[in-house]
Amino acid sequence: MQDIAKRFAATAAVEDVNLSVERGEFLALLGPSGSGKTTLLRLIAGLEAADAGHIRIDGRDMDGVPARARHVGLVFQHYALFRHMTVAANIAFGLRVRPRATRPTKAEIAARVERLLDLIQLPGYGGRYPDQLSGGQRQRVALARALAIEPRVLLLDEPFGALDAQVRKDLRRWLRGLHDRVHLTTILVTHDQAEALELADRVAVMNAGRVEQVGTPAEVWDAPANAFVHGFLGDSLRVACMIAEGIARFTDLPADPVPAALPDGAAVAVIRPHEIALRAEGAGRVHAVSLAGPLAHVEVAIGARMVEITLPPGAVPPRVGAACGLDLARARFYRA
Amino acid sequence: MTAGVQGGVGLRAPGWERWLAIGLALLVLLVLLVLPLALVFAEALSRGWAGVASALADPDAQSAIRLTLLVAAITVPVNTLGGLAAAWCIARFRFPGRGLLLTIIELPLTISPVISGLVWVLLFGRNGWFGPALGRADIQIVFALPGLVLATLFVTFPFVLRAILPLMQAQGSAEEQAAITLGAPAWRVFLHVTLPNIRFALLQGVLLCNARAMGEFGAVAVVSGRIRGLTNTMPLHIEATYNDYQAQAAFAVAALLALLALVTLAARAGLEWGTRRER
Repeated sequence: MQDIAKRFAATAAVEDVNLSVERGEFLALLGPSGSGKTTLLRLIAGLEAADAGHIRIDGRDMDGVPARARHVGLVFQHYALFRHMTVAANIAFGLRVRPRATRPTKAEIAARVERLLDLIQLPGYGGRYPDQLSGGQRQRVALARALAIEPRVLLLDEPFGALDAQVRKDLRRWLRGLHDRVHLTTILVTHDQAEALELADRVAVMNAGRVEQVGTPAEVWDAPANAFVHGFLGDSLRVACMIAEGIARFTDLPADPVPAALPDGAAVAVIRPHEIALRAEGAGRVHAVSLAGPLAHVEVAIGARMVEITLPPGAVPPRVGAACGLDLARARFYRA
Repeated sequence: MTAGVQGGVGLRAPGWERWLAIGLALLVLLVLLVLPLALVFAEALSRGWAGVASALADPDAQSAIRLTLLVAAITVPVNTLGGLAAAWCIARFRFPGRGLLLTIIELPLTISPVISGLVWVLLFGRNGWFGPALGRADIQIVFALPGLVLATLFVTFPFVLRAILPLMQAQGSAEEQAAITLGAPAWRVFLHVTLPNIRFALLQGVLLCNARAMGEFGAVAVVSGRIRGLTNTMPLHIEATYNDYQAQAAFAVAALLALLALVTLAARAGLEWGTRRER
């Protein structure tokens, strides 16, 4: 699959998106709700019509191709299993509705359903109804149903969104393992940055209908293209600053100026809690220290703000009430 | 559901108060519903089964029964299809005028049945809008079967729609979308996904629609012209014979009509559990 370009100007749900996904690749569309990622997925599936632009799958233009002829597997956040059909009938549905000429025989369909039940680790569950399954089991059945038609692309719309934390984690691992075995081109929509970074080969960070950055998880984590991407990937502190002759002076936080490789003018500094270093003196005061968990967290009241810092392993935590300062030398700078 | 359970527990009154309330409700039920209905059957049988048989064998009664069944046989399928189509449009699409449509669909339930009949006379009667044109073409609508069908269609339209619309809205369209992406053509989506999900509610709506189609009096009375043996339906025939002081004959037909209603009600009750399962 190559070169998806999509313009959707009227509602601006998705604007000027250009993305290509390699065959067998696992791409995550990551963004806050309302960023257009689900709309983009529905455009690819053909459930939504684009106002402009083209979607190509395997080099074939999908313009005017109805959803049922696109051969994409779509998995919904709330499973959307057929509630009046058994698990086996759900999985077989996509095969049974084929025109007679391309429809597998009953025995072939039954055999494929059995294989898929094994694949989703639910052998013997074929006779049950969806309302007799747990959330995680239902989502695996929904996945098997989508896989049954041997889709060219697998589209996952927040597939773990309705599950609790432990099930979500297990299913995530299992899905990545599955992808490593079958190498099906997969696009995952999620608002959970940990999920996207853990699962995907590449991550496309979306905001307000636009793609802000595309890259491997390491690339987007280590080198965020802008302040939005940086802020969306995990907790971070934003500080406004003015840059003059390569030196950034912070305007809304009393911290020492640090070098910044940006042209003169207004800018914004973004820094993660573990990148902030604590100094023995300065305008701040230690407000709270939390020693729970593997790393110590310190809350510092400075200026009018409350800043959270994660101490490096082995560091001696400061006393509550002690004076302190912040070292923002490891911040990344972006034009304001 | 939780709230209902909690309410039930919280409101459990001490013994005698509870029995008083239940007794009162049963008394009202007995006086207002059971007694009149029992009276219909008692009066019908006042001259024994032979009396009932002869009343039902009367040619005018036979014609009324046939006409009622014919009107129901036409209106129920039409309104089932119409109700399905309307519910599907309203539940699945956003379009201008959707809110207005929702209100208009309730109209037959809120306006008097007499008016529901009168509109057709105003449209198609001899002095109505299309009266002269229809007269030239020699097409009879009012005081004939088409008028009866139109009036009944109008009165019974909301039943199927109201039975299935809330369910379709609650279920959403995700299952249908899933079916589409799995390659199902539209008719298969409808047959294998949409219809099975609403089947019990749909049947309930059809039963209610049928009960009303057979029992409607007001709207039908206006457009029928009440020609005995020709345009009288069962309810109209009952009134006509009663006005002729043939009380037993009137009650015999009434008993048959009531029996149809009771069968409908029983069928509906049998379906209740199925609908609950769907939700």
